[in-house]
Amino acid sequence: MKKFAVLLVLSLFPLSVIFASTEQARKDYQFQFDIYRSKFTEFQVAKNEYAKFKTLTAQATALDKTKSMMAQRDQLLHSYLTLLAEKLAEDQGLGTSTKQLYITLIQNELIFLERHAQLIPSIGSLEDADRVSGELESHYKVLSVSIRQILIGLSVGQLSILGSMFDSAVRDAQTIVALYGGSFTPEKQQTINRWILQINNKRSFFQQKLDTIMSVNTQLEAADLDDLETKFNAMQQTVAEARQYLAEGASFMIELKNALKYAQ
Amino acid sequence: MTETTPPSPQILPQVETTPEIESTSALAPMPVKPRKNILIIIIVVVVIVLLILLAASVKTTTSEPSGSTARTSSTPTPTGVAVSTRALTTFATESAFLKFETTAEGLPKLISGAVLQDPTILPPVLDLPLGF
Repeated sequence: MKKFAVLLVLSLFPLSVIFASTEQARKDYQFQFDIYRSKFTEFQVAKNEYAKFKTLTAQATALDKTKSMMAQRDQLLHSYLTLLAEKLAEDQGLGTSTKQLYITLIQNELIFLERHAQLIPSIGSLEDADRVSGELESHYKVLSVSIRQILIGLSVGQLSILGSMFDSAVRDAQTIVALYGGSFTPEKQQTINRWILQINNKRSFFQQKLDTIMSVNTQLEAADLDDLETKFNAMQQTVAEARQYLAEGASFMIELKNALKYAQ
Repeated sequence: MTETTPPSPQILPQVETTPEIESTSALAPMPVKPRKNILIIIIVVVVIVLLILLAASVKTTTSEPSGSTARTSSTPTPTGVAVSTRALTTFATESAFLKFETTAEGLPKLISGAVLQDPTILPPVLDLPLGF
C-alpha cells in the first residue's frame, strides 16, 4: 500500500526525486521552505524598489523575482503535499477507503500545482503575474481544506491504533474473567463487573468522539481561511478529548488489573 | 723631666663581663601573657562552632511539622501498589494474567505519549497576494 501510494502520487511528476522515506520528504520540504523564504525576501525587496523608483530596470527585476518566487511557492506546496503522502503511506490506523480518499485529494492538488507551475514561465508582465498568482489565491482555500482534512485524518489514524491496543487489553481481561470467574466471591465479581462497565463506557465515549471527528472532517467547509482555522482547531480539541477518554479507561484498566490480581 | 706614673685609683673600674648564653636544650617556660591569649582564642573558636551547630539543629527541628517523626514522600501512593501482605489470586501468576498485567500497565503511558498531531507537518504559511 505504501509503495502504491507513493508511486501513484509521484507518477504525475516524472522529473521528481523519489523519496525513500518520510524523513527524506521532511528534509526536502524544509529545504524548499528555506529557498522559498529567501526568494520571497528578494521578491519583496524588488517589489519595494520598483514601487519607489518606477524605472524599467526596477520593473524588470521585480518581474524576474516575482516569477522566481511564484515558481518556488508551487515547488514548496508540492514538496509539502509529497510529505503528507508519505505520512499517509506509513499510517497504520486508517482504513483503506479513507486513506484512498486522502490520496485522491493530494493527487488533485498536485495536478493543480503542476498546471499552475506551467503558467509561470510565460508570464511577461507584472499584470500577468498578478493574474496567474490570483489563480492560486482563489484555489488556496480548497487546497487548505484538503490539507487540514488529511492532518485530522492522520490524528484519527493514531487514535485508532491506540483504540486497538485498548481493545486488545479489554479482550485479555475478559478472557481471564471467563477462565477464572468461577473462583470469585460475589463481592469480587461485583467489583470486577463495575470496573468493566466503567471501562466499556469510556471506550464508547472515545468512539463517539472519533465518529464525530470523522463526520465533521469529511464534510469540512469554510467561508474563509480564518473560519477554516477555527474549525480545524475545534477538531483538534475533539481529538484531545477522545484521547482523554481513552486515558481514563486505561486508568480503570489498572484498577481492574488490581482487582483481578489480589484476593481481597 | 721624669715621667711619673699616676697613683692607682682607690676604686677599680668595673670590667664589663659578657653575659653567658643559656643552653637551648632546656627551654625556659613561655611567658604567661602570649600563652593566655592563644588559649582565649581557642576557647572562642570552639564556642562559635558549638553555637553554629546548635543553631543548625534548632532550625532542622522547627522546620519539621509537629508530631512527624520521619520524612514522608509527597507523592500519593497509588492504589494497588503491591503490598507484601495482600494475598494474590490463584491465577495471578498465570501467563494469561501476566500478559494482561503487562498490557494494562503500559497502556496509560502509551496513550499519553502518543503524538497525535505531528508539529513538523503543519502546512506552510504563505503570503499570497503579490501586492503590485
